Amino acid sequence: MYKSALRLTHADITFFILPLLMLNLIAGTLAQRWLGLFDAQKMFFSTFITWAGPVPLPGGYILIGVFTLSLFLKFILRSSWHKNKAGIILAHLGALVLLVGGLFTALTAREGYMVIPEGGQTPYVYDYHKRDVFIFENDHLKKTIAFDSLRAGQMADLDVPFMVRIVETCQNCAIEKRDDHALQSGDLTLQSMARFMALIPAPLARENEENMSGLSLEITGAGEHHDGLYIAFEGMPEPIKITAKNGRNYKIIFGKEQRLLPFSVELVSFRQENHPGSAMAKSFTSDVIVHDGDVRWPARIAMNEPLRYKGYSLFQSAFDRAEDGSQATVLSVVENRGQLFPYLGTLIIAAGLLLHIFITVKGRHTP
Amino acid sequence: MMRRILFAVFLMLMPPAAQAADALNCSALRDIPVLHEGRLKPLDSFARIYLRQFSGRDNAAGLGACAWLAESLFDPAAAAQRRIFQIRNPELVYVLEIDPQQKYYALTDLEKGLAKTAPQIEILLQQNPAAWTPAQQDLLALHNHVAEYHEIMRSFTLLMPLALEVPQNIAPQLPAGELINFLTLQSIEPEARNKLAEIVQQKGSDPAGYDSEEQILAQLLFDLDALRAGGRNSAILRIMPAPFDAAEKWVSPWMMVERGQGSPENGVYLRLWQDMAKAYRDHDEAAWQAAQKNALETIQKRSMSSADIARLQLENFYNRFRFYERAIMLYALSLAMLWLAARKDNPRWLQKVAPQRSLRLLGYGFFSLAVLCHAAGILLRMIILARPPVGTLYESLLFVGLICALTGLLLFWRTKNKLPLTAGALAAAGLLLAAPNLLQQGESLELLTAVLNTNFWLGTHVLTIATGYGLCVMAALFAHVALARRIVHKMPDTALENVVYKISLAALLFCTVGTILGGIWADQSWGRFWGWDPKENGALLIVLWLLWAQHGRLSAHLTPRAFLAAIAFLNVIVALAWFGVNLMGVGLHSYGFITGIAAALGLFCAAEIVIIAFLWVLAAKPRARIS
Repeated sequence: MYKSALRLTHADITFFILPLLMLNLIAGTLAQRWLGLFDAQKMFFSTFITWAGPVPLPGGYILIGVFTLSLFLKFILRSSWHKNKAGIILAHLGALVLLVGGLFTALTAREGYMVIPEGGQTPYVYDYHKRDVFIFENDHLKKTIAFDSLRAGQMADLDVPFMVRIVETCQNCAIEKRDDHALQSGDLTLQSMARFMALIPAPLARENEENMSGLSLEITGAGEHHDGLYIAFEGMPEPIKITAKNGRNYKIIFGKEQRLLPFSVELVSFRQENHPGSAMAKSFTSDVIVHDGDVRWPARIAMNEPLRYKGYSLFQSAFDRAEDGSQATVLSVVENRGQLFPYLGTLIIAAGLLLHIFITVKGRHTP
Repeated sequence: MMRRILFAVFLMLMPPAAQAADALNCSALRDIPVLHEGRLKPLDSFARIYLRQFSGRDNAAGLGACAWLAESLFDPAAAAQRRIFQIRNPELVYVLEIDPQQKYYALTDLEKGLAKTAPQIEILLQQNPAAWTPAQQDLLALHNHVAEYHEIMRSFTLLMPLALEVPQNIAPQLPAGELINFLTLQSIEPEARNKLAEIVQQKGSDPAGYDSEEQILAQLLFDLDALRAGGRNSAILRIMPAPFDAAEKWVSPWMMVERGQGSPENGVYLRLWQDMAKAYRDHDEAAWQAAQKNALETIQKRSMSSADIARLQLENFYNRFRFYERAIMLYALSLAMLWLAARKDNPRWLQKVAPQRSLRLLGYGFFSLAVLCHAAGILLRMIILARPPVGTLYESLLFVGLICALTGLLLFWRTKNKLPLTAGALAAAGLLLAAPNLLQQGESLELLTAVLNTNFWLGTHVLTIATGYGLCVMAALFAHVALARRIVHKMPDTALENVVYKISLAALLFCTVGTILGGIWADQSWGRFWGWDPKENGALLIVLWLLWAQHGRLSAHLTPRAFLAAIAFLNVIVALAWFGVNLMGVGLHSYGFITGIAAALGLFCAAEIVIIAFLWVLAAKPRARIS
């Protein structure tokens, strides 16, 4: 064990692992052309194994992990603690700080977004990628089920007094219009939105955020008024409403996974400012009011000017403008406790490299 | 389609000027301000941008850009016959049924082909742009360019003399001694409309039943409507100060009339342009000069700050002086002098006229002048745009070129060796030569998108990483030379190889800090330090490559010769990270998306790979060399 640890301390680990890392980096970058950023990242960088067809290759986690471990052991066990090497030692320490910070961030940071219409207020953050099915009983959230856990053809345990069977799910759905308010599909009665349209699986969009997921489900045992085929679709957030035999009202809602912020944000106004005399945007600005308990205060969020509060950073990311002129702002919300590491790492690396160059240059004059 | 019909009407109404106006120059016109793409710029810049877009050149068949613009504005009938549209795609030439022998075509040459292809455009616009063939892209671009040109030509249709008849019963009411143009006709328009309404009531709306006087009236009102409808879209030439409009400080002449801003102030401005148009069309040189000067002075006095005036003059100076072309020439001269100075067997006459020492000094002199010229160009851009020097791909080439030249100068100063000067001049001149190919839309002084609108990060991250690129290029060039010297001298040039190592260390410093600063910008701006975006990965790739080469050298896994080859290969890595990523067209950094340089990039990389492999192999067996 100790021996293999010692082997890791050789500088040549770096020499062998770097080409692999570079190949991984190139492959993962080129793959974005076809896969989109999210999938390419999952396949090459944020993974232990990268599959090249049937052949497993070390993924980003393993490569960076071994690299970090080797750097750490080398740093502890084999640094030549000499003042001539002070710059080198410092630069390596900085790299370590950077890598450890990166690991910490990869494990703990969470990203999401919030959509706030002008005049509206919300404490909810939506996940960019994960989707959930929410079940409300008499307007109280009763259960949440991850969309990924649902399988077509299986019964879903929604904790409701009627049976729900998943007929189909699609990561990206297209809508197909049904003929003039059809009532039946096979032997199933079409209900609510399903009467107007059907969901059919569509090819995945290159960027995962552009996918519109949806599912169709069959409900039985809720009485003849409610039994039948329903659809739930991200593109049309219309809840499925069922009054069960026990007299309670149930709502099934499908959408992005939600998280609650420890505060809420109200949008006062959103502004797009253009370069004069052109349609080219110069800046986007959201004027908001932050509500935290009884305390509230105004803040401004603009491009390159985020709002930071309680470990969350809120960034201007997009906006929505309806035909009637009403606007909504879209804010990216990032929760990252490892934010300080890169700053620290950079400072140490820069100081180290500068020191090393200084020592080298000075050493030449005094042989 | 509608636009073209309107245009045809306006061209018929606008008689050609009495004489061709080739000789009229734009001494003051070029300094008149126009608000375009978010920036107040001199009219000369405006003219250059569009002329470059249409024809790929700075002059229109002998006319300078500004003179061409004057002709387009004041004598559109003549301008329509000037060959300014460059069409190179043979497929497009065939579709448009134009003479394949020409390189440039006039509006009048294209009219038929454009009308024929208009339905095709409607269909193309419904399709996914990714599916367009090159010929279809060119066709769309041509249609857009022609539409833009029409819009420019229509800018002053409201004050140009019109070739139309005015019914005798209302003609006396026209202002005495004035031209017949849209503006003067406006004063009789309400009455003319009342008259036409009466006629329609009596005789119906079919002009066939009218008498000739009534037909003239109907025709007049129809033409006025057509002019107005055409002018309504003409917003491109925002040349009229609109001091009472807080949102839009500068508007086009038609915008001003359409918004009913008929204040005496605006009357003054319209009068200025009317005088100019008249002088131009009469080909009255003295009046034309006086009208331009008067217009410029009036606008400057009434609507511009002295800072604006100075900035616009600076921009015209920047456009005319051609800093980078001059710098390229000076770099080339300096290379030639240094080469001659290094030769041992110059002809006798040359030795007499210029001994080695003066040649050498001339080389240094030209190099310093080139750097001055290069740096001054970049400095002027910074002043004109009021931002740090690098925000676009084009600017990155200018700046990296300067870094290469400065590195060369610095090393020359430290080592008294001429090699760094040669390498610096080569790199700088090469980058400056390549730069214009990366311009989009013919505009070199463009504004940046909202994400890049931060002087702090443009000044830190972008400059650091660009400096890193420059150092990489220099290290790679030196590595090429060091390998070559191993072949020629049959032994390593230790001093030079040491320099390669040191520059690569400096390159690592700048690339690493620059990349991390980019991460910090990303963290500050959109909340993540690292997002695996292609440009980020490209920058990281350079850092990893440098780390690999240096660690390989230290751990003796790479022989000194292999280390040199690895550093020489840095050229390919940098080229891919710098431009290749933009070709992918994905990610946050695809703002500089460029087509058509893929081939050049591929060729460069292939050539470098062959050259480096060749050097590497030959350097291994110096004795096998055929001498």
